[in-house]
Amino acid sequence: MGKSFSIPISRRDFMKMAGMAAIGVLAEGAIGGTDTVSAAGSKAGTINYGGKEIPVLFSVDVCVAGGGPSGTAAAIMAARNGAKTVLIERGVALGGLAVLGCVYPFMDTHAPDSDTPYVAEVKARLRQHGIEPFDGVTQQTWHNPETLTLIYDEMCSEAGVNVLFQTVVVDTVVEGQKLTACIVQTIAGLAAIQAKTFIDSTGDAYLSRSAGVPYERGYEKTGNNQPLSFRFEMGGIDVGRLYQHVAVELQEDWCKSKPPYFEIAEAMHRKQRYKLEDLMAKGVASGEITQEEAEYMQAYTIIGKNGVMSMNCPEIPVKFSATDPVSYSKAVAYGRRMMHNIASYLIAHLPGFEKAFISREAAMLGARESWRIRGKHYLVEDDYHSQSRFADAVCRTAWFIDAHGEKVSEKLPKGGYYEIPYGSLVTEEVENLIVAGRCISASFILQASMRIQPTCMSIGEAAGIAAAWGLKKHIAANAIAWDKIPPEKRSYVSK
Amino acid sequence: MEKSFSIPISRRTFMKLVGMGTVGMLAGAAAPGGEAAAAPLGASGEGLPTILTADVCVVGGGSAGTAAAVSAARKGAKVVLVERGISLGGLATQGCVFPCMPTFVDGSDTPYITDLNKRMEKQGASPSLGIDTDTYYGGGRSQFVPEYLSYVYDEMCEEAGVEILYNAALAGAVSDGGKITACIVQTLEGLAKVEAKVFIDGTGDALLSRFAGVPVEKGSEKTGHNQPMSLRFEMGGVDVGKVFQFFQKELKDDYTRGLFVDIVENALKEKKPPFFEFAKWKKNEKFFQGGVARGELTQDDILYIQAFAIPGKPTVMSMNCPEMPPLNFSATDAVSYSKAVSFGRKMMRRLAGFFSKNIPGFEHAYICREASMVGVRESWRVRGKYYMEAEDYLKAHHFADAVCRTAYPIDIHDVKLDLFEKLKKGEYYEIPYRALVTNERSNLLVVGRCASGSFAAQASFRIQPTCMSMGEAAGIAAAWGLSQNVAINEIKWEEIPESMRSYVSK
Repeated sequence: MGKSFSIPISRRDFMKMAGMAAIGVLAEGAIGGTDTVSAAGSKAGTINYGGKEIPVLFSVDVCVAGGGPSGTAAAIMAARNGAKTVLIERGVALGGLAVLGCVYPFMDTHAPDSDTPYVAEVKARLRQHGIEPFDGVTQQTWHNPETLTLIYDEMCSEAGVNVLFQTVVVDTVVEGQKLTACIVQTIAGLAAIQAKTFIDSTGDAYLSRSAGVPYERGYEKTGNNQPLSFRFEMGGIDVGRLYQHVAVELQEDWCKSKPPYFEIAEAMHRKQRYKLEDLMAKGVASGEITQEEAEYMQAYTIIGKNGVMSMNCPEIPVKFSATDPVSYSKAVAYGRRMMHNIASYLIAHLPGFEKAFISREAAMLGARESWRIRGKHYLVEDDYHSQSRFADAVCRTAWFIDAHGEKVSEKLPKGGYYEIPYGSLVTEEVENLIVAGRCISASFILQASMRIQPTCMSIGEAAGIAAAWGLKKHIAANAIAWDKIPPEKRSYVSK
Repeated sequence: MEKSFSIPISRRTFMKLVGMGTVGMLAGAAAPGGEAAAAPLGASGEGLPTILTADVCVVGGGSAGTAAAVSAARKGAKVVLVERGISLGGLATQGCVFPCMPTFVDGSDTPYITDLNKRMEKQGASPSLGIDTDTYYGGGRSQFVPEYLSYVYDEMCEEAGVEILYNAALAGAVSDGGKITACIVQTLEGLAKVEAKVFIDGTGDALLSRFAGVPVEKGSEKTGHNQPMSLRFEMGGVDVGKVFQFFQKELKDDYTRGLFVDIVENALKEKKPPFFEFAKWKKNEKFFQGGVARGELTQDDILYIQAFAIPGKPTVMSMNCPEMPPLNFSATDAVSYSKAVSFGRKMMRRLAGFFSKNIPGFEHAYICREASMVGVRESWRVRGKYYMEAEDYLKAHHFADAVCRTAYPIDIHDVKLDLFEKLKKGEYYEIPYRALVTNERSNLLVVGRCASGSFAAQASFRIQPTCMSMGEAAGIAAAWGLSQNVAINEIKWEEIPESMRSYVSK
């Protein structure tokens, strides 16, 4: 009874007119056997998966799994370097935590000249859209999530990246040392995507784990992952009144910039004492909020969204695990209650918040760390303190070791930084796989430094360049020597 | 190199302390060396760990699925609710679909809806406008603030003891002897199975049913097209009172009239945030066409424009647009659907720019939130035991096994197909239980927009209150069937004691 409706020819013509890439396949409404559903009929044929034929939706040079800061960068750079690229994204917006997770702003690498060309370009494009990311004092990137995702769409469209939204990676097909396809769940059903090189930017090393790459998770000493956050935004805030109260009346000097670039914060577990700790402690005393809710509270103004602040909280207790699906699910409901309690408390007691309301909750939890691969090179805490340099470095950073609840390091001396080698992005086990973002090969403690968004973007950028380079030169992705790629083609050159 | 970290005992203890359900089995994580992720035979389910086991597994936490899960659990069933995102509510929360449409018939609000309305009222923003007019009456009509709704749903699930599995995408089904025995889900850890005695398909896309081999249809029989998709968004920083003045005084629009004008004016007098709605229609067509003439908008952009103030989020308006051109994009083709997202985002930007530039009250407005799921009106529909058709609406059919009633019009967003008369006030049709079950799978219920009906019939029953009532009945039936040992697709709804039913046909 599944009727096979053909799509009128006008659609294809329309796509051409709109400057979009040709559509790979048209829906034929094919329903597979009794227990499988295929995504769509496909010109690229079918493959056998779990005893069933499923369509190959795309057969390309580079397949990037995950459209967050690193994956989007990887896809755009691979495509710009001539690779036919597909980018698989679970949601309906690119940007990952920055967009779906409300993680705002991008933290500062604290390293001199760490912006690789792609990072600089994203900032320049924000400016073109009227969002000035520089607050005049710090090196944090104040963006605007709705503008950022639009920019990512634009960049993908210009570079010719095929973005596959609302698509979940569920499995992989490995032959020998090669990943030949990944299996995805689309709105229509299961399908395969074949590629010559794969980039794992799932954040959870999902593709790598599925392909048999060894991995770690959590802190060796406690078994805990970094805590999850459930971020949200509040609207209706009188930022002028808030500034007056916090910066003038309380004389809190934590935020170095002035509205519209304004931030409030308190973190009871840190050595530093914040003026707003008193407010939150009072809430605990009165029973309006719990100690967990009072522990960490931070809010940033959002550029271009007047009266809206991005809340860097609640931070969900580490009793909940970022790597256990059942525990993670409980963390969602638990975090949502914390969110509502914190919001109600601030509305009742923080000047400037009198008419505030929750205007948006994140569509994904803020996972800081979950699984990390064990790749060719394994970065460790000492690389931070010793400011390690590598000939095959793909970027630099000096963001401090920020392992919430476990370890917070001193900052490196001004001008200091360490580098991230290409070897941490590739594995011994799978030759055509590159890993980008927070799940690269690094220890729990070191990852607590390299996990921030600009660094993830730079890693992704290099991954995309390397993927395209390797395909052109017929070098396996895990055999590429980044330092042998001509410097002008590289996004970062170790000095 | 994987280290098998055991979960600290404190967590389990902690769960008990906070009154949450006990933690189920862990997906292979606890078994040394065995991880769930690398499972090449996902489609068959062989070798996959079982992450949870329940009486009833509901897939999809939207309007229908959440109602089904809560109702089944309240009747004593052990329930797992599988949700792809991290909030319940589906289109109402993730899709920014606001408010609920009216059913245009009294008596359509089943007990679950009444309870939900009461709970939402307690959150501080009334879900009811408190008025009836010639064009605004009947059940449904709730104005649910999305951020309150996801919170209230969590609370209802916790009270009823529903185990929610968030961030889990359906990836397959395992069937045996005419029954579904397990569904396969992709979790952050890897593929795993959820085993249950009864399954409820609340995916909206009939995905579970399709995985299980149930026949389906999609799109209009005449054109082959699905209903158009929307990519909804919210704008903040809006001076709603000023927008009202502009539409009423300058454009001399009367889209808002009578009691609706009183609501706005009273609120403005009392300096409260007003409820106000505007839309593109014949009286103000010129205003929006002006945007096209000046190159600020395209003809596609103005096909459908509508905006609602959200009580509880003063200065924010929920935009029931853009609507992506249905001839160009399909809700049932993965690649086309993806292109619709980026296309819709561009439309959204143009609309927001046009509003800010041309509508007084929007001068300082901005996009404050985009939907995190596409507003799909119709994709796949199952072919179940009873197949609802336009006739059922037009002749106002009633059924002994009816699970709810509605008179919402056959609302097809296509001028060439939208030719059906609206029922007279007081008339309504009912949805039979048989439209929720199939011949192929004895332990499957299908709820929400993908229940069994033709393209035209679905265009009426697809609205949220009706989906909730269907879900509620499905949950009750699932628990009843289990307690009475009756196959789900053979239950006679009319034989369940009246006191246990959410709806009784009169």
